[in-house]
This record gives sequence, structure tokens and C-alpha cells, in this order.
Amino acid sequence: MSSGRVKEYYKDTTEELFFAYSNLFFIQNRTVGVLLFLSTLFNRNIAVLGLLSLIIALLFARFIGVKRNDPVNKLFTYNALLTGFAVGFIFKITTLSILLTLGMSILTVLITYTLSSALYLYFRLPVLNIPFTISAMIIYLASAKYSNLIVDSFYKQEYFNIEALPAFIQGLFRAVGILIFMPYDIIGIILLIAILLYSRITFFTAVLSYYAGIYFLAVLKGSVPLAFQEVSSFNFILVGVSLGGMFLIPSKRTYLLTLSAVLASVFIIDATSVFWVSFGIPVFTLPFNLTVLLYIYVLGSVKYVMMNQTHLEQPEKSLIDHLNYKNRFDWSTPSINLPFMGKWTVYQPFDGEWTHKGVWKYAYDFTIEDKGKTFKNEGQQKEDYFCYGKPVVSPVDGTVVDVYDEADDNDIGTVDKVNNWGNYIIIYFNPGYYVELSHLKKGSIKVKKNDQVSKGQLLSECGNSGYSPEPHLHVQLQYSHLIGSAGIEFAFNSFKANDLDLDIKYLKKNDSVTALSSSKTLTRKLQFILDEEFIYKVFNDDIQTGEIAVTVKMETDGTYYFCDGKENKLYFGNDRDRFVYFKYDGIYNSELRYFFLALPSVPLSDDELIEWNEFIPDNVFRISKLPLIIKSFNHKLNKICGFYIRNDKNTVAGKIIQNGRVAAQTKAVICDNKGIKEISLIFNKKTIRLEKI
Amino acid sequence: MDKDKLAVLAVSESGFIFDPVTGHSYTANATGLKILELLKAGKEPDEIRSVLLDEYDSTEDEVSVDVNDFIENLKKYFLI
Amino acid sequence: MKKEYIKPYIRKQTAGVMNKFGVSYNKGHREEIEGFHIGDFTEKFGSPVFVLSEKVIRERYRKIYSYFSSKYPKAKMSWSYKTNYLDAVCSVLHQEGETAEVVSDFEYQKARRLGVPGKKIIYNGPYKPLESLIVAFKEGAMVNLDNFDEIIKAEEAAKKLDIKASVGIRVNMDTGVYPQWSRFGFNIENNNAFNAVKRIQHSEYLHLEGIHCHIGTFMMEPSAYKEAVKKIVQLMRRIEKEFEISISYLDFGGGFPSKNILKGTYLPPEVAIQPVENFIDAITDTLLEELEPKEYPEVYLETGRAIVDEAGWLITTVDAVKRLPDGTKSYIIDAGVNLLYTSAWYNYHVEIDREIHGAYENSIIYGPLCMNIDVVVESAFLPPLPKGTRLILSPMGAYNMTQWMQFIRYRPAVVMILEDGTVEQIRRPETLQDIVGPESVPEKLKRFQF
Repeated sequence: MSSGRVKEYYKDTTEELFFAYSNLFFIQNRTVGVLLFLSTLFNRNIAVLGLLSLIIALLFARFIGVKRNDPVNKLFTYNALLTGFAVGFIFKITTLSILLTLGMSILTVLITYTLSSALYLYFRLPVLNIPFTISAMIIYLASAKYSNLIVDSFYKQEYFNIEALPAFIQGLFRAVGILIFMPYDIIGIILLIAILLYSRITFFTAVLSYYAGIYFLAVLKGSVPLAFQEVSSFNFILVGVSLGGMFLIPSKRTYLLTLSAVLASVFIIDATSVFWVSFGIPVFTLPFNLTVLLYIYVLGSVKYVMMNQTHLEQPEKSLIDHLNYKNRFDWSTPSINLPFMGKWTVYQPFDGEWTHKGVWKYAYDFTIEDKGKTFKNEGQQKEDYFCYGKPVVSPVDGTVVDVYDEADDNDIGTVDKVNNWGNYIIIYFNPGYYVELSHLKKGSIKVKKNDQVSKGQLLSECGNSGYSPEPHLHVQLQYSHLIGSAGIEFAFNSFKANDLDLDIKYLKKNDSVTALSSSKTLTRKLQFILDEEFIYKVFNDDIQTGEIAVTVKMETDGTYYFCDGKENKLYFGNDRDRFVYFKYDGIYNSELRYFFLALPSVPLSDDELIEWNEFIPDNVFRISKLPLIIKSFNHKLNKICGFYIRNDKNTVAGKIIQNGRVAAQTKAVICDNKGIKEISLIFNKKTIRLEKI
Repeated sequence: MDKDKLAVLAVSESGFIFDPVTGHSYTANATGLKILELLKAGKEPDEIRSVLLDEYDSTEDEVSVDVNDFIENLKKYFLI
Repeated sequence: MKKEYIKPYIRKQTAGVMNKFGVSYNKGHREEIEGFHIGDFTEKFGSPVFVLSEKVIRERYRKIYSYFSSKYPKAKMSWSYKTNYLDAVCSVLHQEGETAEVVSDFEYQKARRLGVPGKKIIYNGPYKPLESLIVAFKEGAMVNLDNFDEIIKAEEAAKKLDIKASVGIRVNMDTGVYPQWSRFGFNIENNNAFNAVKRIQHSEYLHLEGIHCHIGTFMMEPSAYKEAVKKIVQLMRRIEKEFEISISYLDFGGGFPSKNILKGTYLPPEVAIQPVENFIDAITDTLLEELEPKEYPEVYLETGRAIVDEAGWLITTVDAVKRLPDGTKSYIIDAGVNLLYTSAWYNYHVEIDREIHGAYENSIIYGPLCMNIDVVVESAFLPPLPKGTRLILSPMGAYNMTQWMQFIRYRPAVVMILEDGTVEQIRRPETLQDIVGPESVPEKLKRFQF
């Protein structure tokens, strides 16, 4: 093997091992893993048998052919580790205990694999540490028969305790410690410090849940000391860390839900322990597993809004990610382009008072106005109406599924009550909606059923057919291909409302809308191919301080990102006729952030003098040093917004505002041929500039 | 001025004028008729001007110009 | 009580031969323009005086632009400076969002001085000095080249600046109407246009960005534009395929008519002149038919006359009345053909500022110049006008205020009726100093004695 591959192999293996340790707390962090491993060294038996169990599990998995990158690897590792700890907790290192470890480790792998598949397939649930629970119970039950192996008792290593500490603090430390089978104050302190350094939110949820659980116990049992003596109180900490920080997005609601889960787990602890005690074994982490799985299943089914979809290593990162997507993208509402050219006016909006009611409330009627009137002369003739005969174009790329062109255009003063919709076109488009355009002019429809149409393609002309008192265009989205179906909520994209606002979600009566013209040139300029590289000089207050090389790479899911040579990634792509940065994933000390800050998104059109605003995520720009944990209580706190204006084809100027104050100013200049030419940022009276070479 | 030519013109009160010599017919308005009458009566342009000034609300300059112009017109039609 | 005075008339009865050379019909009289008395204008600004209306300019522009933009998604308009380049007029149109279209270095400089940035200027014309090309490229103007020598000149300019300049070419073609303006630009049919593109793409200092054409002026036939669009789209496709480039704009110039009456036409303008919408339809319908949505380039129109002609009037005063030896009535007014270049082509609409009773007769309106050609209106059917009557001639907005010449008299004031109801002078009458300013007398010629 070459040295490079050896290095990589070494790196991957150590990562796998240390992650196994940190996953005990549902944390993915090497440093935490190392600290945990070092903590285990305080008890030789636990350390050795734990590590042994882990290694055997990995070897066994490879032996039977489980590939290295199979996600199940991440699951059986910590379960096997815990199993090893369980053995080392009660047995000294002897041939027999090693044998026990061997066997239980393999068993753990098998149980993990089976359970995780079944749970995911049928319930889409994670396996947590159920395999360990089962293995531990087997060990305890079986070991009763191997009584000559039982050596150490529970509280042997007293010198790791600090007797001077008050009971309620000791309780916390020991509960933390027992999660690695080492219920000692010093271990607990080390672990808590590791957790605190890793994530304030995880630390907070761990401590909050522990004390909440103890409080509930105290109230129920009627005695505080008794509560602290509860052996299984470590379950509360696991509930808190997993629900509050990992499976749900940190927020006020999440914290309350976590507390409710802790309460629920109290009862499960008490109930199950009655049962288990009769067999002489502790309940281990069964209450935690049951409670959390129940919560995750139900919350997932009802599509609870704060479910964490992407499991990033740190709750703070999940929070940033969640806020980024929630504030900047709305992929739940379908969106189409405007089906006409020039400036039109909303004649009837959603929930309009005449016909947009009930199941048909989600529809827009448009017409053309001049000086407040929709017609010239007296408006007695349909031809007097400005929108009559004007081109109607396709708002989507799709397939025509239905066309009707038999209805006459009414004269002013009469309406057609038989063919309510008049002449219409229905088009099917991804991801599975239908768009309906109606009241079209007879004889003007240029497409037929099964024709493929593209955005902007001429379809027909605006008419006055159907139930139409005056010429106008009706637009709605529906789930079905049948005319007259109920409408579903939708929005338009790539347009200016009232000559100012870009892409507003809901239009009101009399709002004017103008489609942004799409720019072939700008689209081309912001289209990047894999491995393309751009080099920028970095200037601080006009003195060059360095250079960065930005390369285009692709993520495993197909998303493109810019990389600065270190681990920092700026994901980008096109969304609804805009070039956008989807998110930034990296450290704060990277110039990639400035690209995001100066131009988080830009409409791919030639229109100048347009303004838009964007939410700026916390990992891209920090003004106040408020820790994210405070922000988790109120997601709107200290929200940072960027306001951008495009003055001419290639320049966008931005103002970054927080709490009404302008904190920074930005400028982005696009090249004449490809890419971004220049980025500049003025913040705290300092200027930072990036110039393309 | 050829009075003979003027004399043979048949003039009606409604403004219709017939020249039996050429066979052409003409129309004139009230003011024009007035001037024609005065010319047939043998009046000179100055006298005609004064009469008009007495009867109509206008200025000496305007009336002067118009009377001359009218006479030029008559000459154009060979009525004078 | 004296009787009301009506001028005397006598008229020969004829069999009613129609005067086949378009006669100005006068329906009633015009006492005011947009609420301002004719007398107010002449009292404050003298006579003659050109009057422009900001309201009409904006309305005409908006009407045309909104129609155009409702029929094509990337519709753009650029103000044709040569039609009227008075600063105030250009400002109105720039405020409405139009860019500037210039055809000479003088017009370019005027636009820049007014505050139009280089990037917002379309620079056309068959004669562009090298210096002005250098400036245009430096400032990012959209330059359309007219001939092969100009391509070489442009290359030199771009080379001096060491840039790759984006340019367009002007083309001409047979559009089925006469005359074909074949002297401007590169002909499509004989392949000159294609060769021009080849030459441009071959150069490392030039790059083709767009295609421009201007097929005529005061066009009567929209189908000519249809032909032009078809041929240009064909050329565009051929160029894009052959040279693997992407054409980003097409410019169809101007040439739409106004409600002026061309000399030699018999029908009144309401019948003879097609509305602007028909011309725009010819262009946009053909574009939408010929192109796929993803190909849509930006399309420019450089409409001038159709926007500004009907926004202008000339107020002039009858200074003398003369009956010609052949009997025709003639009037001498204080504005001559030196001010009214368009009098060579149009029969102006003539309105009187007061009600005048009397018989209408065919009259000639002469200007004040001592030249026999100074005939402002060849044939106007007018009642007898007294000296001092004001006449209002229209439409005057297009070309008169750019092509007028100073000859023996000072050129008059130009005023604009603003939307807020005030009237402001936008060009003051000329003075002696304006005319002798540029002159210099050689020393030895300065003294003379009688």
C-alpha cells in the first residue's frame, strides 16, 4: 500500500473508532470521542473490554462482508462498545470475560443489523441503543450462571468521587459517568466539560433534562434524596440529548417537548423496573429507547415542523441549517412563471369576492390597466379592452393534457354560463401539478393535447369566453387534469410586483405584475463546470493579504459547491430562475463566506433596478456574539437580513441589516464572461475585497 | 371700370349672380352684394368704403383692404 | 348699432373638380393648446414659437411601450436623438426609461453631457470617427457597424484600448417596399452581412453581439417589418450556428409613421396611416412565430417620429395678406421653411386661433424668407384671415427642431407645456451673439471706411 493510502486508511480507522465513543452521547466529534476514550482508561477493565468489543465487532462485520461505507457501521460500533463496557463493569479481564465479550460483541452486531433494518423499513425509526440494551440484559441474565466471574461491585473506585460536592451536583456527574459505566464525579466532570465544549445546546439539554427528571421523580416519590438515588436517572440525560439536540431542531417548543418526554420516561422507568427487578437485572437504557422512539415516530408522522431532517453533527449547526432553509426557500408551495408579457394587473386575487371562493379560492384573474381603466373608449366592445387578444404564454415546462376551443368570446354585457371556463388549456408539469389557463380567445389556441411546451412559449391569446364579464385571464393550479377541479395554493416567481418587489408570495387586487425577462447571458455567466477554478486576490483595506483558489466540486447528492481548498463548502445552484447559494458549510474563517454575503441569490434576468432581500444565516455573518443557544429560544432574535439592489447588469450592491441598523455594505460585480469578478465588504470601518485574477 | 359689364349682371337678393354674356354664375355674400350694388350705382371705392364703415362694425384698414380685394376678384372673373 | 362685419366674397360656380393635391381641412378653430391660450404663448415667448407637450410625449411613449412589452417578453426602446435632441425632450424619455440612440459623434456627446452613461447608448450611423469609436468602446456603448472600413476602424479602436469590444452590425435587405435603403449597412441577400460577421469574429479585438436594421422612414406598410424580421432571424440562426456564438440583441430601428399627411397622398391620415400597433404586431408576431422561447434575444425599437411628432405645434402669425395676380389668396407668416424642414414632405394641419366667418378658399401660405421656394403650405382651404391672425401648424415634434437651419432670421423659442400645468421655455430664441459667436475676422479685414 502506498503511503498516501496508508495515511488515509489510518485516518479513516481512527475516525471510525473515536466516533464510536462520541456516539455514545449521539455526538459526532473526534475530540469528544478521544476524551471519552481517555476517560475509560480510569477503569482498566472497562477500557480494555470496551475497546476489544468494538474491534471485534468491526472485524466481524468486515468478515461477513459488510462494506466500510455501509451506514450500519455507525450503529453497531457504539452498541458494541457499550456491550463491552457492560462486561467490563462486572467482570475482571480473564479468558472467560474475553470470551464473553467476543460472543456478545458479535451478537450485538447481528442484533443491530437486524433491528435497524426492521425498524427503518417498517417505521422509519433509528435503532438508538436498543441492541446494547438487549445484549446487556443477556449478559446479566446469562452471567448469573457464571457466578465465579463476578468480582467487582458497583461503587468500587471511590477515589474518583469528590465527597465535598453537594448531593445534587454529584447526582448529575455520576449520572453522566454511568453512561460509560463509570458513575464517578471526576469522570462526570470530564465528560460534561467535553460536552460543553462541543455544544452548548447539548450541554443545556443534558443538564436540563436530568434535573427535570429528578424533579418529577422527587414530586412523585415525595423525597428529593430518593430521587437522586434513582439508578436509572441517566435515561433522562439521554432523552434530553437525543430529542432536544439531535432529532429535533433546538427551539422553545422542542425544549418543552423534551421535558414532556422526560416526564413520560419517569413512568416507564418505574413501571419497567418493577418488572425487570424480578429477574434481577437493571432496565439499562430501555426507558430512553422506548420514550424517544415513540416521540420520533409520532412527530415524524404528523410532520412536526421542527423535525431535524439533516443530522448534522452539532445541534447548533442543525439550527443554522434549519433557519437557512426555512427563511430562504419555500419548496412546499408550487411556483410558476407569469403566463404573459408586459405589465398586467390583478383583477381578482386568492379568495376574491366574486368567484374565487371555496375550493376554487386559489386562483388569480389578470387584466391590463391604463390609468385605472381596463378598456379604452367606452368599454362597450370587447376589442376595447387592453388585454383582449394579447399573447398568453406557457408558465411552465410541461405537457398539454387538455384543450378546449369551442366557446365564443362574449360581447360585453353577456356571459356564457354553460361553458363556465370558456376556452382553456391544462398543462401537466413536474413535480406533479396541473396549471389551468382559461377564458382564452376562440381560435387562438396554438397547441393541442400531448404537445410539449416550454416556459415562455406562445400558447394562445387572452379572450372573453366562458363566465367572463370582461376580457381577463384566469390562472390556477390543481392536482387533477379535469377542468373545474379545486385549486391549490401556489405562487409566482421571476416577476416584479408594482415595479418594485421581487417575487412576493401573495398578490392583492390591483397589484401590477411584470415578468422579469430571462437572460441567456447571465445564466451562462453563472453556469459552472466541475473542477473549474477561479483565483482571487484578497485585499484588506487595499493591501493584499493573500490569495484563495475556489474550485467547483460536486457533492454525493449531485449538488455543486465551491471549495476553497480546505474543508469549507459553499453549495450553489439554480432555483426558480435565480442563481442561489443553498448553504454554507464551513468555518467562519474562510473567504467563501463573503461570496454568500455579497450575493446570496440573484435573479437570472437582464432587468436592472430590481431590489430583493435575503435572510443571512448565522454561519455566514455574525454581528453580535450572541451564542446560538440563546437564539434557539427565539428563532427571530437578531435576525440578519441583506437588502440587495441591482443597479446595472453586472453590479449588485447590498446592505446587511440587523435590528434596523446597517451593519455592513457589500458589492458584487459579475464578470463580462464568466463568474464573479469582484466582491467587497465594508464592515466595522474595514474593507475586505476579493478580486478575480 | 367697365360699367357696361356690371350693368348686364343679374343680381338676386339671395346672393346669386348671373352673367348672361358668358353664361357663368356666381355667388356672393351680403357684404359682397352690397359692394356690387354700390359699384353698379357708379360709386367710387372711397365712397364705398365710407358706406361700409357706417353700416358695419369694422376698421378703416380692414375695409380698405377688403374692398380692393373684392374688386380684384371681380377683375379676375372679368366682371369689371 | 352697426352690423357685424363679414368680409365680402364672390365665387364662381364650377362643376366641382376635386383638388387632388391634399388640401388641409380645417375643422373649427383652436383657441388653446392644453388649456393655454394661443395669445399667452405669443405674448410671453414671441412669434413664431414651437410648443411641445410633455404629457403627449409621455402618453405616446407609454402607449407604444406597453403595447410592445405585452407582445414580446424582452422589449426595449431607445430614443432616436435625431428626431428631436432638445435636452428637455430627451430627459422626458430617459425618465420614462428609454436609453439613447445616436447616429453621430455630436449626438453621442450630447447624450453623455445630458448624463446618459455610455452603457445606455446605442451608437449607429454610417460615419463614426475613430476617436469617437474609442470613446464609445471605452464607455461601453452598443456600437452597430455600417461598412467594412468601419469594421477595420473599430478593430483599431479596440486594439488601442486592448479590449475585446462587443459590436453589432447594421444590415439591409429587400423587404418588398420601395425604396430599399441599401446604402446603409451590410446587405443580407448578397452575403455581405454574413461576411461582415466572419470578419468580425475573425478579429481578436471584436465580438458580435447583435444585429441592427432601419428599413425606412414614415413606412406605410407593416409587412415590410415582417420581412425584415424573418430575414434577420434567418441570418441570426445562421451566424449562431456557424460561429457558435449567441446573439443577445436585435434592433429593428424606427420608421413608424405619425398622423402627418405626406405630400402626394390623397387620403386623410385617419385612413391612410396604419396605427403603430399594426407595425409592432408585424414585428412581435413574426418574432414569436420564428423563435423558440429560449432563443428570445432582447429586441429594441428606436421609434422617434411616432412618439414625438404629434406632441409638437408651431404657433405663427399672419403678417401680410396678398392676392396673387392669378387670383389666389396668399398669406405671409413669420415662420419659413428654414425652420420647417419637414415642409418638403408634409402638408401640415393648419388651425386658426379664432372663429372667422367668411368663405373658404384655397390659399397659399408663404414664409418670411426672400426665397421663392419658401412655401410653407402649398394649398390650405381657409376663410379670409386678417393680419395678425395666429395659425397653429402641426404635427411639428419630429425632425423640425433638429434639421432647422438659421437663415436670415433668428430661430425662435421652443417651449414645453409640463404635466404640472406650467409652460417653460426649453430653448430660447437665438440672438446675434449666438450666430456671430463662432466667427472670427482676419485682422486685415477689420477696418473699412466709406
